[in-house]
Amino acid sequence: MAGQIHAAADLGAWCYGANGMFFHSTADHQEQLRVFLQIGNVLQAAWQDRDQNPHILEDPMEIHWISEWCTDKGLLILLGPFLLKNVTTEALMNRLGRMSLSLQTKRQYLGVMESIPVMSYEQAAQYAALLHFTLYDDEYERDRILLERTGTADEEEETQQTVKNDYARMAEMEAVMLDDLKSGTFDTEELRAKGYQGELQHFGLSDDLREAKDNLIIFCALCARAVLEAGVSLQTAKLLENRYICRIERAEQTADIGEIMRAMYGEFLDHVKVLQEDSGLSQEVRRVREYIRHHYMEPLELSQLTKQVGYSEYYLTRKFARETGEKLSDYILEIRISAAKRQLLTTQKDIQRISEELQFGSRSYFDRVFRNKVGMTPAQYRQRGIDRETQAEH
Amino acid sequence: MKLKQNIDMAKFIACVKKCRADVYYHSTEGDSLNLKSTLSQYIFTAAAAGSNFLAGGRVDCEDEKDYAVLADFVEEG
Repeated sequence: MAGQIHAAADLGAWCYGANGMFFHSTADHQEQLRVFLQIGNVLQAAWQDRDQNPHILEDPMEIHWISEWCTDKGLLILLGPFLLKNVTTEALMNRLGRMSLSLQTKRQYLGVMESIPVMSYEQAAQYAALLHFTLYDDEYERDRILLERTGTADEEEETQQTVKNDYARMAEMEAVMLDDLKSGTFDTEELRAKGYQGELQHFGLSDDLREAKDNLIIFCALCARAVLEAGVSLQTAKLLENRYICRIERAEQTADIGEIMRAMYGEFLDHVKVLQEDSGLSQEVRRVREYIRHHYMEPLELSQLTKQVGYSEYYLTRKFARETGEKLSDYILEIRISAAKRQLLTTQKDIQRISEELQFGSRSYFDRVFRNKVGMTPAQYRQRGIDRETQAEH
Repeated sequence: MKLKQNIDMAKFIACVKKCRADVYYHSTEGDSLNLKSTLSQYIFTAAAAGSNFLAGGRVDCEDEKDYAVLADFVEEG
């Protein structure tokens, strides 16, 4: 009978001895399902039902089993597992989406869950009656077979635990990222080791996009405060904060939010790094560098820069080179290349558009300058970033 | 604490259920599971069949006294 049921309904048959010893099963994923039987209290419930009646048992995860005690042979027979409603992969993923899980672990769990067949209650009752007939040669009325629950997973408790877990993780990630901002360092390996995957957490409100925006706006304000503490000027911190809040509000889908977050964090971090590099420079040169960092997306004329400090072009370029060790034009290029790298990795903008926005003029000039500075073309640089991210996921 | 190799998964989870406070499992892959949650127990069980999930994983008890309950399954490290 076990073979027939397995062939007809993909339903495994399980046999346990009187002393609780496991004898045999025809099911797939036996190793995991045997543990499911125990942690879901199914085995314990089945042992108690020694009444020569078939039972349909539902565990806390709504996985079902048919059980009946065979008095003559002192054996417990189970058929299962099966589900009484079709649980889609999407529904399972949604449930897992709030948890801190790697892709590999999600795949393992989905692999087991998706192997469990789905059937109607009527069909399940039919198999239960068939099992009873096989064991006792007695026809059992299907209407008499009732569903028994072996326990319930408290949804609210599950959600609270998950959210508590997520809050703790999010708070830890935030603390690490804000400390990194203040110190001007960023350790991606450390964040990855702690399970951070560059996404924002969601806490079950009805509007996911609004929730993601609110989360990021709060994080943006925290970043602005952190860079202020690191010594970045109030004007710069507020300018960045306002610019990114506008960008967050303009986002049309949640997928954009992660992209904006990475760009935002990178830019806040760059300002702290630059501040550290600027220490030891004269006030005039610092002011020119800060002006360039704020206006690198505009055409920058030397005459504009001299207005910032009141020096002649000749004097400013010499003073700048003397203090920083590089030409003013090289510094502008460096800032634009740095912005280009950030945009290539954190946005899906067309390379031509990046080139135009950063005032490189033609795409061929942008390619040439980028290759000279970085050692590869913008397209190669973007592809390398994608490859690294894919490797990290696996 | 590190999780020992080749543990009896059902007995381990039965002991976790006896713990007074939350018990977390952190895998080297970045998973973080609160083993007091029913869903997490099922995920933990399903994932344990994966080659790397249990290797090098850590068990953290919120209440220090719970390590005694799990003494047969964890070791210093």
